[in-house]
Amino acid sequence: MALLELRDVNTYYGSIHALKNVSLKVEAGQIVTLIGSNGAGKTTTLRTISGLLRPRSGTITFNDSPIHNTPAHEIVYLGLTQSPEGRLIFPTLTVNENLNMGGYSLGNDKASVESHRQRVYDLFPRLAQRKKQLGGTLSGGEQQMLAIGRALMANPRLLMLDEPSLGLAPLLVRMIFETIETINQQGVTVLLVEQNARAALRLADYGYVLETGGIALEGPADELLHDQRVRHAYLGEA
Amino acid sequence: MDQALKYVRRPSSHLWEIGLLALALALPYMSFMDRSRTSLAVFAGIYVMLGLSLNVIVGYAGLFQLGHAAFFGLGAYTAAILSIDYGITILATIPIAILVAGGAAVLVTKPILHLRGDYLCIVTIAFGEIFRIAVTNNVFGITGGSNGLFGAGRPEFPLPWLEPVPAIMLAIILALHLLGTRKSGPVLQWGGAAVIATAYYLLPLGLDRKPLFVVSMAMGAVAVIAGAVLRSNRASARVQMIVLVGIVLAFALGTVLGAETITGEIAYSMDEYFNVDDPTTILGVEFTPVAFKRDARPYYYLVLGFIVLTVVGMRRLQNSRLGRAWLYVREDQLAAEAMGIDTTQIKLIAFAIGSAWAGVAGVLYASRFTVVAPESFNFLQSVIMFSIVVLGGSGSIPGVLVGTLGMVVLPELLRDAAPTFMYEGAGPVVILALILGFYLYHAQDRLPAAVLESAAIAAAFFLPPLLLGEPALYVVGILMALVMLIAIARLRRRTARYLPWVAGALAVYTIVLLAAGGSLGPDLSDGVSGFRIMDWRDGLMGVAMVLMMMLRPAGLIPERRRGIAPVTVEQPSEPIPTAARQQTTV
Amino acid sequence: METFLQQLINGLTIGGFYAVVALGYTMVYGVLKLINFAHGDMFMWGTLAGWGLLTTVFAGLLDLDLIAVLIVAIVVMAFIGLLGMTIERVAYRPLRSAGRLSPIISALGAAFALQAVARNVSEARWRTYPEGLLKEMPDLHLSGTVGLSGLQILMLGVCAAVMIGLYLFVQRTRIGTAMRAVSLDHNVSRLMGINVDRIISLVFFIGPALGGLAGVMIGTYYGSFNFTLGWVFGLKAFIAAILGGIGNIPGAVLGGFILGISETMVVAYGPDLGLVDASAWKDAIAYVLLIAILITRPTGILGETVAEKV
Repeated sequence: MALLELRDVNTYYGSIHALKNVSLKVEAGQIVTLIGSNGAGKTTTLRTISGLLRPRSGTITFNDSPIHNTPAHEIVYLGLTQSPEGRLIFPTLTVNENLNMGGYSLGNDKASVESHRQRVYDLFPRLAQRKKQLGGTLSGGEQQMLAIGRALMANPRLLMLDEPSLGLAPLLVRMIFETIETINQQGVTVLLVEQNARAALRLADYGYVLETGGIALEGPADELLHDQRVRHAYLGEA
Repeated sequence: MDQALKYVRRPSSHLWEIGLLALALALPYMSFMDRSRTSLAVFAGIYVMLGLSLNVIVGYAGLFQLGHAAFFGLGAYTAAILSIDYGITILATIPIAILVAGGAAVLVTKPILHLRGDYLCIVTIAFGEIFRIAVTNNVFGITGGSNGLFGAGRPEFPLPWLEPVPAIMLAIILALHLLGTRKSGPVLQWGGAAVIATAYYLLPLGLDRKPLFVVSMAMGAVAVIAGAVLRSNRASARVQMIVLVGIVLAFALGTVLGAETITGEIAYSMDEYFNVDDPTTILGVEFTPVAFKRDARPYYYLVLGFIVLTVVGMRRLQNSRLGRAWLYVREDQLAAEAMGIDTTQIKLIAFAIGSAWAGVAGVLYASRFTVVAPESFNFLQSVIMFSIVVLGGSGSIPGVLVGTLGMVVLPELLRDAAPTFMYEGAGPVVILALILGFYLYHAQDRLPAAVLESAAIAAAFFLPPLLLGEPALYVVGILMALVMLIAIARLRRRTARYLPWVAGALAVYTIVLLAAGGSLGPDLSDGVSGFRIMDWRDGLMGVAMVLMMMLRPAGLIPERRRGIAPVTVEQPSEPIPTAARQQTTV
Repeated sequence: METFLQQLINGLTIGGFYAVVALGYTMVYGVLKLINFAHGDMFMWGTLAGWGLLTTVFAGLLDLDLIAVLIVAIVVMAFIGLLGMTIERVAYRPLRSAGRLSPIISALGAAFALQAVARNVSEARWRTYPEGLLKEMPDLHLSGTVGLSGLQILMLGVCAAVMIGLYLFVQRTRIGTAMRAVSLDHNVSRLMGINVDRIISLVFFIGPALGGLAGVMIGTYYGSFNFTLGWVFGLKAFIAAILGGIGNIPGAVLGGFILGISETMVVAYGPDLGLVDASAWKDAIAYVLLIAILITRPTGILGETVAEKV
């Protein structure tokens, strides 16, 4: 049984049909990537899974329990967290406070919050140096680290990352992707949404291609990497 | 989807508006209009003008203005001061009032236009309050302090009863037609103009005994409606012309031959409404000076005229280049700036126009009540104006009319309502039937549950007064009924579907109550154990405001969205509202 | 000089009241970006409820007036806090995604409704708190005729305690941090597992509860009130919150004190400066200050100049 499964999910913004019969699976332990161009519905898919949007029809199951009617804040408690697109860290909270908010679902257990924070600081030593700094004063790369770290604080089983490479320098992008791999090796399943299709497919086990709100193509990542259509449309090759 | 259809089916005539106008013209002569209700209609008309003027700022340009009463007050004080101290006839102060109110708006809003929404809101409140405090403290020694100013003049103007009149009238009416109803055919325009002009020409015949002023107006309206009906039925121009000429002739004949009998029933003399002076000659033309008296009816027509003028003007404004600029600024200020619109300038113009027109309403107010005092321009008045615009539907002209009915007319009518009617006489039966009716109508599929639920609501309504033996506690009953309803709706997660029906029931009931005027129950308007409905008026208004916003957040008659539609598939900043969420569960 | 010091002390006391009421406005504005026009009337309900309790249920306990007032204050805080939560549920929550105009109307409607109830309960008359309440406490003489009455000491002490306590709560605790997170971004807060609705409810408990406390304090301090108190005083307290920079606790406190002191000073020294009828113009001070500050600093004295997200 897959850890996360979407079946025929349809989501609307008002009268705009944003997701059309999207079905996808994320197996435990894997890195699964969702690629596609701007406006294809990648972010909408993540927002639908994390409960910020409600599907009009279809089912979403996580860990064998349906979550398509579960409020967003309760989904976090089930072990499913998201680092939103554009990072969206809390600018007037310090790095420490940002992480504490990520660990909000841990409750008042100070020791557990502390140990998770330590784990994030081990992954991103640069954040540890900026503990007391306000989130808004960090550089773009640091903010992305903070966003990922914040999503890790709740000790998720499945971590969803929305465009972690957005607006970052190539060196930083590589560093972030390496960290994602590390996180995955620590036993966290990852659902990665990316525009940088090549890097994402290299990292992932399995991939889905979204086009105008529907799944156009899916398959093991290395197959997609060599698929003519993908190469043509998303990897910029003739 | 619905929207697209509306665009295709553009109404080809102004039938609705003309019908409404005819109704408005006839209103003061309807049987239920007594002296105080006509007076109320004048008052409400002034608020319609205020709502329309505020609509420019709030509706068109999307700005906050919770201090509109100050500009209303500026107009009223300007008129009163000029009239009392300088003896200027009051309607002649309108241009000055426009300059004062509009100029003041430019002066005070210019420095604050860069403020964001809520800050702007609070600063406009501040201006309103400063104005009130200033006039209360008799600023510059000309505002008369907290008692205000007394003795502002009533409208007066010279009426020429001479040969060139029909020609002048024709020109004016034609100009009005061209301004307002471009889609109506030339036959309609000429025909309507001819009827009104003929009527006006015939007016002097009965001047000394029976003025046909109102009758002729009504006849003109009849002709215009007839023309519109024919036109919408695609009658040929010849048929239209024949009918119109027929109406004119019939009217003229009737007036000449049977002036006495026709008008015998509504035998008002001109003197009842107007002070008529001896004619004077200006430039060879003889004018008869006429001045308003206390009676509300002439004022009613004066204000109505201004409203028509305002509506025509506002509609043209909305469709103008400026109106489109407002639309862009309201929907997306950044994009508007990127398109080269000077947003500050545009907003300033909105404030200037809206405030200037509020000043005109102020002049009308001063001329009607002749007393101008600070309390008529306090924050509550600003709130009422703001609510008129938002409750009716921000940016919508019909919305302002409905909003005024709800915020000004209904609360005033409540004054006469007898509270105990709710629990005695036919009251309980009416309300029970209404609740049941609406409820069952909407819940045919689940009859037993619906019966139980409506019984529970009714019980919540009746139990408090029965248990406490205090019929005056009906307000508690209403609240209990609503609470019960919300509880049930919550339980069934169907708030959005049920609330409007019961709210509708209560509204219909209130109207029945008002129409009956409490005559179905013992008259206890002085109160049972000190309870008087007047004491609760503002509270009921408040509850109604909250409920209205829950049911129709965009107002009763929302503005039809024109022009730019949201094309970007961007996330709404908020999660899906509950109503949409329910659809997945139902 | 002595008058000046005495006026400063009086101004501080009044400023403290403004500040405590302003806290409620500022917290609600923080999480919902909503001007809670009903807050002033909830605060007035606090005065009213305090009067109701002290003149009936606790009338027998007036010999121990400090204890009586304390108990009453706590009961009133709980009551007004629950009232605030109810109003949020009924009047604001259904409108959360309805644009910016509708919640203002709803808030004004709630204010009208509260005021109408209060008017009828108080029968539209001025009502007085029990004579001599808390008047027996020791005064503090500083120098000459300058001093603080025992009542002023108590009031300032309570205000300070409330402000510091709230500040620490919001800055140091998990729930307080969550409040700040919610005021920054509802959706991201949801992704953290924060129950945004519950946090908002909490804010709507704390803010009005503080308003209720201020209500009882003002009733005790001034001795008499009527049902329009909430409107006038509430609006000015809101202005205090904006002066300091809304959404910001130290800002509300600063704004409250600035307003309280300015009002006292203008009334005291206005006549010397040629303003004959200074007390009649007292209510205008707040508005003039507001306009002056917003023209120069559009987000208030301590407000952040961060551009608002579009």
